[in-house]
Amino acid sequence: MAKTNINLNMTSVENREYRLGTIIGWDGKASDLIKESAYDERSAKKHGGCASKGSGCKLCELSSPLNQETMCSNAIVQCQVGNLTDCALIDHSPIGCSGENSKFNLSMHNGLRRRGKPLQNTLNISTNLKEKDMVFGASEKLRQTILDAKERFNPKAIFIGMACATAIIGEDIDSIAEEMEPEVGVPIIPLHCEGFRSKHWSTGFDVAFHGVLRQIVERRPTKKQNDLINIVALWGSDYFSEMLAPLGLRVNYLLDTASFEEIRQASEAVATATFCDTLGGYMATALEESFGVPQIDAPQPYGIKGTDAWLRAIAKVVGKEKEAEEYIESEHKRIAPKLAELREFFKGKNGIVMTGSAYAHGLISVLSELGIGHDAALVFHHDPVYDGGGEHQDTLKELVETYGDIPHYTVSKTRAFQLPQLLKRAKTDFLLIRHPGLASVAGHLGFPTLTMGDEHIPVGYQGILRIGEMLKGVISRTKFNQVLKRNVKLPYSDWWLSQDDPFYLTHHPEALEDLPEPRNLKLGIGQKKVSESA
Amino acid sequence: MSKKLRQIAIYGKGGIGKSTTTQNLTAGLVEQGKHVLVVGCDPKADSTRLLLGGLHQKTVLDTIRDNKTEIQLSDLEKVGFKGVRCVESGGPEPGVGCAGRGIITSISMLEQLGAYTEDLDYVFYDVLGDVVCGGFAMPIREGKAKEIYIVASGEMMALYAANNICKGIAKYAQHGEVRLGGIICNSRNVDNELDLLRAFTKELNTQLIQFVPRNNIVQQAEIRKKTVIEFEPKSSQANVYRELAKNIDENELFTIPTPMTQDRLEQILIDYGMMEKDYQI
Amino acid sequence: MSESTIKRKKSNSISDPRYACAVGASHTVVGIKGAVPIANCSPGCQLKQTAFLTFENGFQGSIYAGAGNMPSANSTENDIVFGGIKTLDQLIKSTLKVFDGDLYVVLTGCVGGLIGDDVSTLVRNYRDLGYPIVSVDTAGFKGNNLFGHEEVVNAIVDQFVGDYKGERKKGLVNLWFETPYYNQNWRGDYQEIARILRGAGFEVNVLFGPENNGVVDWLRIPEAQFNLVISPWVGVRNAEHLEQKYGQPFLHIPEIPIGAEATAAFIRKVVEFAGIDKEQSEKFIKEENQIYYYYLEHFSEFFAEYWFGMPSEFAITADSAYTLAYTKFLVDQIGLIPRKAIISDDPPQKFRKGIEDAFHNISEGVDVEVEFEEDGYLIEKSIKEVKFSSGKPLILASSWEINIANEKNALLFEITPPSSETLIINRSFVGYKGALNLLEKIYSASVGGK
Repeated sequence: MAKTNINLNMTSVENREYRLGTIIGWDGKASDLIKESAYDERSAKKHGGCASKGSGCKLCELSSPLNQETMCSNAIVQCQVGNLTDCALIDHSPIGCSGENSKFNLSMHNGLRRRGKPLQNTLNISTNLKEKDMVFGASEKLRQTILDAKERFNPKAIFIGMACATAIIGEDIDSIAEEMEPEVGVPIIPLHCEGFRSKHWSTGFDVAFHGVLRQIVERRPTKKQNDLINIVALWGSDYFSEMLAPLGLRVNYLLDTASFEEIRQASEAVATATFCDTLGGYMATALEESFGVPQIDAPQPYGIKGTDAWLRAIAKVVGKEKEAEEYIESEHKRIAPKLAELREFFKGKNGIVMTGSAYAHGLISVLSELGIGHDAALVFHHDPVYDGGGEHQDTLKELVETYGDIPHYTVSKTRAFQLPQLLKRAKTDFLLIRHPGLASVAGHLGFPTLTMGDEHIPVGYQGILRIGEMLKGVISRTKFNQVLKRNVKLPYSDWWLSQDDPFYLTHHPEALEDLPEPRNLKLGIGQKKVSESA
Repeated sequence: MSKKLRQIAIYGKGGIGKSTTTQNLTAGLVEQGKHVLVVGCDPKADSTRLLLGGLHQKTVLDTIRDNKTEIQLSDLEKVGFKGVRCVESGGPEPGVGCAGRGIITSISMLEQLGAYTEDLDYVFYDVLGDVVCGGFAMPIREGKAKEIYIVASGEMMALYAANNICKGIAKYAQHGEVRLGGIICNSRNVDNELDLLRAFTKELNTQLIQFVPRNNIVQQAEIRKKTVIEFEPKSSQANVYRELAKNIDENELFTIPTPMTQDRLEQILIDYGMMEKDYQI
Repeated sequence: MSESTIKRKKSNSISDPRYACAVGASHTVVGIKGAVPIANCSPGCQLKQTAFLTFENGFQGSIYAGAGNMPSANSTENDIVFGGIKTLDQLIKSTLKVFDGDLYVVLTGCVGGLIGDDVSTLVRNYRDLGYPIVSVDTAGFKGNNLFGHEEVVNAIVDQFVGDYKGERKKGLVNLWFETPYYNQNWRGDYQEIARILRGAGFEVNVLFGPENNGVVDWLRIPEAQFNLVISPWVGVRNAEHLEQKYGQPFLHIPEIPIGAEATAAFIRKVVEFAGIDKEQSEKFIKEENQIYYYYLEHFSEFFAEYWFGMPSEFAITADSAYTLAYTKFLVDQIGLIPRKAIISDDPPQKFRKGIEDAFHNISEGVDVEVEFEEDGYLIEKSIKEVKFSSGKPLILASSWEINIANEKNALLFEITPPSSETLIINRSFVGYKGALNLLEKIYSASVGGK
């Protein structure tokens, strides 16, 4: 039997840093990171092979004394299982942990519209914990909230999300879930997604998938749906149907906006693919290992070469090679004139992508197809391997081999203060960003940004054209950003703005021993500075 | 899986001799050919010192402190006396951080790393002091230790702590499978100690599973970083620990304890002559 | 535990939340120009508060060291098990080095609060070196963002503004008003109220928002003649603290004035309290009345003659301040019929009677029974159950009520977070100008605009 990498007997997930060796700080040439990542060696381990342990498997990580507002695993769980149409999510936490639920409700609305489903709000509920619950425990409140969730939403399943506070006081959500399940009559699924749990929020995706794999996905499917393919996605528009219809496939999107039944049937599907290996790797691998649904071992569906290979890999699984070749050929022909036009427009233009890791690799492929230069990129984390560890899933290597090296490839988790340095050392006309907190800062520095709110836009052949069209509008907005740059100051000190190395504080820890003289208007020390421009 | 893994947590007041008892008991079990894993859940990380012949150098939480990635079980587990496997949770310095959370973190990590292999007969958790917060109850949660033994002596504070621990067990037993397997008396040579413990355990709806007499050999072995069974295998004290191991191995009496009120506990102490003495805590 | 015994109790649960937690008071710091919040909390904490208070609240956006720029400890498992002081110390050092701030406020969330890190000593050491830095305990389990807001204000007063021995200046007033970012029109509202107070002859110390001059205004707090609290309850605790600390009196006006009549009454109350010359304030009232009624007369024609989908009834749910102010204006000045008023910001018990009384006396012949409810599920249920009797009702609420408004064929007007169908840059619905903007907004929706 093949080695199992994902243990579904456990309620909690092994953090990405332990499982995959994920890092959140690195700076250098992309080709060097590929070497250091030793994908092949890690992949061999995933597949039960024997690989040497030691320096070959150790990535050098840059830490930073300064970190900034960012995401957590708990929020990711909320935006995953909190966005199902007929399952409820309990935030077992003080109320602040539910602060982003309204934003995920907006995402849900957008997702439902894009997928043609009826509008509804998220089924969210918090145990709303107070100080005395921290001291005396919060289990009774959780039991009450489980009953409330049942009464309010009559859901098909109830998830319980752990938060920092409840994890520290040691709330036993596993036992309570098990204990209450018979009374409530639907699966109650504990999720160990406390915010401090992992150094990177993407562990939250794995936690969410883990929960549905354990308690919703059908363990013993009685039938196979040979025309159904799982696409692990977020809320993106349904572009996958039009790409997969020529292969006779229907799409089962997981997890956002899905219903209990859509998740349940995941084990009946013919295969699993994704728009992003960072997101989809865990789900796809577990479905393969424990449910016998193969995952697609192919480059991601971005750019011409990636999309060709992705479609061919799926076609092979469903035996539609001929149809795939016809579709590929007709699509190449179809997009060629428009693509040539866009390439002409973007001649000499440069762009920087700032998103999660595998998705960034896809976006950069699309920029390359459009003839846009990419001297630099920022990813919020780097997974040296994904759970699948497939031969064709080394997304960074695939990118560099196809489209060339990236001289300034930076791994750094949403540290906005590094943007002045990052944008100083590479040419760019715009930025492609997905996560909150960075676009506005880049905007202050004079650069327009395209925020990828609908993450499926760049997917496939048409995705290249969609991105091209959108970027024309984005570049035009440079005028707004120049106004901002001329008139608005960022909060960073002149000393910092004069630095060239985004990781200066890491490379020169002694800098923190030399603090600036205090400026204190109360004590009359130093000059009034910030306020005087007001 | 033919044999059933027994997961056992040992609780007791700080300083009562929990770690010493656990390690000698484990030594007795491995001597019988049992496969045992000991998980030290004390921030001082000294629960496996006698089995390993020295302090465990790499605690589970150290790896987190050092921001290690891709941790492997072999980084954390050491093999000691007759093949006993030992891990130490470790934890913060006194006065900072959260030791309770540390236990949760390290036990989860051990599970993730697959420390609980199928060949094991026993996992022992040696837990610090009292069940003070959620973290210290981690070893007796659903799917973990189902058996608990409390180390006590005839001293008032030890009995008081044991009674308190029983309150925690009774609470967990309401919803789960955790049960009390008995009280181990680590004697302090208090007058009437054996009778007192018998009365005490009866009141708690449990048994006195072993009376371990006080013997200087324990300390001599400890100075040499050894269990008594290793240090003086032929001594009577070694046999006491072997008997304890046998009693636990053959134990079939698992109960939900009935902790008593403060008044009732004091009454028992008076009945056995404890309270009349000028007792110093 | 059997089902029946649990259900009888009032539930602790909250669905569709309407406030953030105490650590969201980082946005109070962002509301002060040149001030830099330092978030001593887990990753995710601040992004969630920012999402709720600035994004899902009229997409107000942030400024300076807010949102993505905000320094944050992003506590890890390591910090929790071994203590987070070292991480925080590094964060403070690097913030002092990299940021250009006039004031730094360290806000400690749940994690630091639970493991008991000694943050105040660490921060005091920096203060002793001369750095303008304060620390405040804003663990999310201690209260909501309004509680946190009051904590932050008191911390800055105690640890930065400090003692004062000088004179107080007659006519100088500290303005304690809406909660930055949380009250979605706060920027415009501060400007309108400051304009009105200046017009009435006061010198106004504006502590938050576009007219705040940074921390220099905070240092002037003790110089003011008095503190003016315009809010049903938020800020009263701060005014009481200032009274105790500096012997500074305060005037508490629960209702934010909207419309010419209410604003004139408001001005007269403040002038009376301060004992300043009435000539200027009366002149100002007269001028403003002329302008206000010039516009209102024009509007009256539309109000009299338009007949499609004009709301006559309304339901409202928001925080105490907006619920009271908007209800008062719509009932007392426009004559809309209040069918439901629900306050969702969890006012402390001691203020509830006063708030209820204000609703009972909201307008001659009208008595509104206000409800207090924080649980969005129950709020929505309560609004759903309202049987509006005519036409197109008006629902002033949050984007949680989008679907209910659709079901009831009502006009939804977002006035409170979350608000995801509203973009707010500079708007105000209070005072003289704001009242007209409010009418414009409501009745634009009536005529089919947005």
